[in-house]
Amino acid sequence: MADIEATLREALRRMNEETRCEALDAVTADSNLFDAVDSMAIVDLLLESEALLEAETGNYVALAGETIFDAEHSPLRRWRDWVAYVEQRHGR
Amino acid sequence: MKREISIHFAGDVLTRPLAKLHGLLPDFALTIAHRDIDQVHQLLAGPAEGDVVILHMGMDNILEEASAAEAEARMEAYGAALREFAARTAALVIVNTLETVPDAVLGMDRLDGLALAARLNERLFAAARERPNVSVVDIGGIIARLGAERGLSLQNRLVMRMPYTKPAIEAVTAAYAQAIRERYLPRKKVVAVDADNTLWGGVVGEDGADGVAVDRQYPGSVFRRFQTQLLELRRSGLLLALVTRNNPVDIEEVFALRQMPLALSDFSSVRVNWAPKSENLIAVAEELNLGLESIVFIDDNPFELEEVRAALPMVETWRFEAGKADAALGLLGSIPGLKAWSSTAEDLAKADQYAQERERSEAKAAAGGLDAYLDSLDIRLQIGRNRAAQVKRLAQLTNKTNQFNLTTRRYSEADIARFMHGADVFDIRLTDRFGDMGVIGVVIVADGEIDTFLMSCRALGRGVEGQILRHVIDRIGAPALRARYLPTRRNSLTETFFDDNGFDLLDMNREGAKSYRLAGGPPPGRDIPVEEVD
Repeated sequence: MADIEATLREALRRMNEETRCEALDAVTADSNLFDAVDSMAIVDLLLESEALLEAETGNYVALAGETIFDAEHSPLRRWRDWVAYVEQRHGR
Repeated sequence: MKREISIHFAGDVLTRPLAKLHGLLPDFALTIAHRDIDQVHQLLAGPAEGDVVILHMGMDNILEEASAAEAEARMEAYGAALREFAARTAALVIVNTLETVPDAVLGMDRLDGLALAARLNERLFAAARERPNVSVVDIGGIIARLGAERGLSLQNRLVMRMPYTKPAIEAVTAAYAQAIRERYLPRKKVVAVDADNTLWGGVVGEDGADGVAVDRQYPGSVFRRFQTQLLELRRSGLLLALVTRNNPVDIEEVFALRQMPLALSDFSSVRVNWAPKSENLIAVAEELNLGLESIVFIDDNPFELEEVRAALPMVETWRFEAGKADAALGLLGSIPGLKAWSSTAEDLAKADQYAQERERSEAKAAAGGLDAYLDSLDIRLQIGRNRAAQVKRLAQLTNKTNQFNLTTRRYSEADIARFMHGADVFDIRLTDRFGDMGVIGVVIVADGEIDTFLMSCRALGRGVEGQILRHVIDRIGAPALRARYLPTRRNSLTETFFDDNGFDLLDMNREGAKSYRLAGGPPPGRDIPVEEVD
C-alpha cells in the first residue's frame, strides 16, 4: 500500500524546488502550507501530488475540493489535515 | 550570450503551470509575463508586444452554454481577431487546437460533436495558413495520445481553472517549447544513416542482398516504414546521406534487387567503405558544403555511435533499435532539430538542387576556363524588396549562412518582419540553365547602413555579388550609405568585399571589425540580368 504521506512530502519537495519557500523546508504535523505560499504554488502542489499518487496507486484522484482555497477551512492550513484529506479522497 | 525572448501568455485557464519553459529552452534567456485569466480577446485587441504570444483557448470556453452555431460564431470571432493581431505584429503567435471529448448520450450526437470540433479547429488552421507568424500547438492531439481520462480533470477545471493533469501540462509545455524552437533555431540539414540493421534487417555482407529483411512482414516492415519516414524527411527539405562500412558492390546490389521506398539516388552523399564513420561524416560535410553541426547521424551500433561522438561531438547521434518498433519508428519524430513549422520552397527543392550542382560541376570541367563556364550558365537574378512571403526563408538564411556573410547577424522570422516594416530587406533569387537555385541572398539596409549582406554558399563563385550590391545601392539611393564587416571564424572570404566594391574604409578596430562609407560602388563587372519582382 502506498505511503501517502511520503508521497505528499515528495510532491511538496518538488513544488518547493521552484517556489523556494524556506518555511516548507522542514514541515511538521502542524505546518501551515496555506499561508506559506501563494495560490499558484498551491495549484502546483495539487497537480504534483495528483501525478505522484497516480504513479504510486495507479488511480487518478483529483485533489481540488471546495475547501482547498478556503482561507478558514483549507486542509492545507495544517500538514496533518492535508495528509488526512488526501487519504480520505483516496478512500483510506 | 543567450538570445533574449519575451513571452506573453493569455488564456481561458491558468497559464502559469503551462509556462515552465526555461528548462526546455536552454538556448534562450526567457522573460515570461501572464495576463489575468480570460484576457485573450483583450490581448488580441490591444497593442502588439513581446516576441512570442501564447494564447490558450479550450473547447469548454467555446462551447459553454452555446449552440453549435453560436460556438462557430465565437470561433469565427476568435479566428478573425487572431488574424488581425498577427497581421500587425512581428511576434510569433501560438494558439492551440480544441480537444474533442465526445461524451454525448446519442451516437449521432457524438458524430455531430466530432464534426463541430473539426469545423472549429479549421478556423485556427485558416489563420495559420494565412499568417506565417501563427503556429498551432495540437492540444487536441496531446489529449488524444494521453487519453482524456488521464490528461483532463473536470474537477480541477471547475475548482482551479486548470483542466489538465500534470502529464498533460508537461506535454503541452513541451509542445509550446517546440513551437518556439522551430521558429528561432535553425533546422538540421542532413540525416546520415547506417545501412545494415538500420535501412534493412541483417548484414548484407553476410546475408546477401536477397537475405536482408526489408519487406512487408515483421521485422522487415519496421525497416520499410523507417525508409518511408526518411523519404518524407527528404521531401520536407532535409538531405539524406548513407554512411556504411561495407563493400560498395553489396550496397548497390541491395538497392538494385530489392523493392524499397528509398533509392540510392535519394541520398545526396554516399560513403560506402571501411573507414571510420567519423571520417566519412567529415567527407559528407565537405561534399555538401555544410557544417558538421548540421548533421544528425543514426546507426544501430553503439560502438559506431560512440566513435562518432568521441571524434565529432558536434554531430548529434541517435541509436536505431529495430527490435523496439515503437521507439524505432518514433525516433525521427522525437529529434527536435529535424522538426520545422513549415518548409520553404528552397527546402523542398534542396535535394534536387544538389543534383543540379553536380551537373554544374561536370559542365565546369568541360567548359575550359571560368569565364567561359560562367557565360555558359545563363545566370539571372530576381530581386524583391520587403516581401512578407519571404520572411521564413530570409530568417533561415541569416541563421545558417556563415561563409559569405559580412556581419553574421542572426535573425528570427519576427526580426525580419520587423525590418520589413521599418527598413529595406532585399531577397535575391538566382536561376541558371540548370535550374532555379531559389532565394540565395539577403541584404538588409537599416538606418542608412548595410546591416546584413549574405549569400548562400551554393551561389558563390558565380560573380553575382557585385551586381547585387550595385542594385541595392541604386534602389536605396543613399550617397552616404555605410557598411560593416564583422569578422568571425568562418567569414574571412568576405574580409575585403567592401574594399573591392567601391567603399572607403573609415575605421578598423583591434578585433578586425571594419566600418565603411560608399564611395562610387562596385566596378563594372559581368552583365547579369536583374529582374525586380513584387
